[in-house]
Amino acid sequence: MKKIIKLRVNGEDYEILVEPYWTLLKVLRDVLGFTGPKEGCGIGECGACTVYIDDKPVKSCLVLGVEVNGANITTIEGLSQNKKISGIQKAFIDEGAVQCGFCTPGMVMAINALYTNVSDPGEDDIKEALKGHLCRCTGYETIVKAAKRAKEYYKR
Amino acid sequence: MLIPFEYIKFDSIKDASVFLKEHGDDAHILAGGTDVIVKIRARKLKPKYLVDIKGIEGLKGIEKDRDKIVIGALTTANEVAKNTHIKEYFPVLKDGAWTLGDYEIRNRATIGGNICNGSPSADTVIPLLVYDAKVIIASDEGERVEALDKFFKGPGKVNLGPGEILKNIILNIPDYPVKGKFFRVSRVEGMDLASLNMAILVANPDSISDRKVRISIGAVAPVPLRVYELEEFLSGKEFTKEIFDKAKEILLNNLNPREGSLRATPYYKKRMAVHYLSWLFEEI
Ligand SMILES: Cc1cc2nc3c(=O)[nH]c(=O)nc-3n(C[C@H](O)[C@H](O)[C@H](O)COP(=O)(O)OP(=O)(O)OC[C@H]3O[C@@H](n4cnc5c(N)ncnc54)[C@H](O)[C@@H]3O)c2cc1C
Ligand code: FES
Ligand code: FES
Repeated sequence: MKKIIKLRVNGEDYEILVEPYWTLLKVLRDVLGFTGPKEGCGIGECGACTVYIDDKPVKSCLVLGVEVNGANITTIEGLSQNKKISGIQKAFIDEGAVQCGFCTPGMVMAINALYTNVSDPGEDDIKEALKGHLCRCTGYETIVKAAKRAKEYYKR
Repeated sequence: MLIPFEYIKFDSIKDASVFLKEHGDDAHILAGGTDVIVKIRARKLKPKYLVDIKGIEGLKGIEKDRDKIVIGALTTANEVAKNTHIKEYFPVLKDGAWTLGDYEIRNRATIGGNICNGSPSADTVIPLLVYDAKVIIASDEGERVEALDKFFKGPGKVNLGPGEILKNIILNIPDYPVKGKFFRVSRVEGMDLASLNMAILVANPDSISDRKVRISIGAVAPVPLRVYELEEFLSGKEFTKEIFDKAKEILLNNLNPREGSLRATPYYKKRMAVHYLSWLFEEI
């Protein structure tokens, strides 16, 4: 039976009807139209679906829409402000850390979360943050470089 | 796509327990969902009702109660790993919790779910065993206390009756010096379940006669394993080459890793367990 849930996504409030077996990822993409988070594996392994629930990064393919009733969700769309991309996104472009781009929203969300927890992350912190994020294209090196480079934008 | 089910959330153990009893195998508890959703997706679990317990008060957080630490079943792996009491008194558990999945998984994965899922290599269970953890199990009829070591019955099978919910994990703060370590090997450096994990705890490490050793190992038996025979043998012993040779023999006799594991051969697991045991003889 469908249930009504209220949630805030990227600062806007929504009240929607969802089936209990719809994942948060499905709700975001198919009901609300936030197609930034991607479905790669659907079982928590690849990180492409990463979003924040109340500022904590999670794999949205493993969360049900009904579980986030009353929660505050941030997707990759919410990282840019006034149509300006965030420093991390800029660092990804600078370093050529995007090829097909499928993994990118999840990678950026993970690195952004790292910077909110650790002010000056080292390479080990970056690799730990990307532990559950798979990329089929770049070979990761440019992504790690971008994550380091993002420091410059954060200091400002 | 997930197969259809109904979702119901409770805010008391009593109500959840009554519902679970009424619906038997049709109802399944949902905590962080990192095992449950994966199993539903793989059609290994086909619940009619998912019973969300995250609204129940008293199942969350970590409290110090004089000489005890009480961990709520719904406490996430990240909360466990970052907790100051856990870091101070139970560092082996901190390390185990921090190796579970990745940062995003740990924001959802609960310690109660890790225990109740019944995996023989659960990364918080192996450390909890060497700390002699106890679990409090609750239902609408009351509560019972059980040694965690007695909680496991087989792969995916735990000692929970109809309508029973794991409420708390109890750890006694050691009032004697301890030294311990968590060990883990997996196929890749990235996120992967343990091919083998192991915890060793030594009480009174600096006094040979008062020494007590506790050892637990994951992925070498149908349940997370405490190696009591080896613990008894090592307690009060000087850690010499001769003792190591004998200890190795006892260890290997106690391991029974299954053939055909996707992660590692029995031979490899045994070699790794012996290698980790050697830490005792090098570092203590
Ligand atoms: C990508 C990925 C990586 C992972 N890596 C690891 C790893 O490295 N190490 C590891 O140990 N595990 C790992 N896991 C497994 C899983 O994340 C953990 O076992 C986790 O702790 C389960 O907790 P949960 O809250 O998500 O449980 P859920 O999925 O909600 O529940 C698990 C089981 O326990 C039952 N249950 C939950 N809470 C209670 C309770 N309080 N009382 C009674 N029954 C209860 C549920 O009914 C269910 O059967 C991984 C999973 C994924 C998807
Ligand atoms: S789609 Fe969620 S982790 Fe891969
Ligand atoms: S850029 Fe293609 S998957 Fe990472």
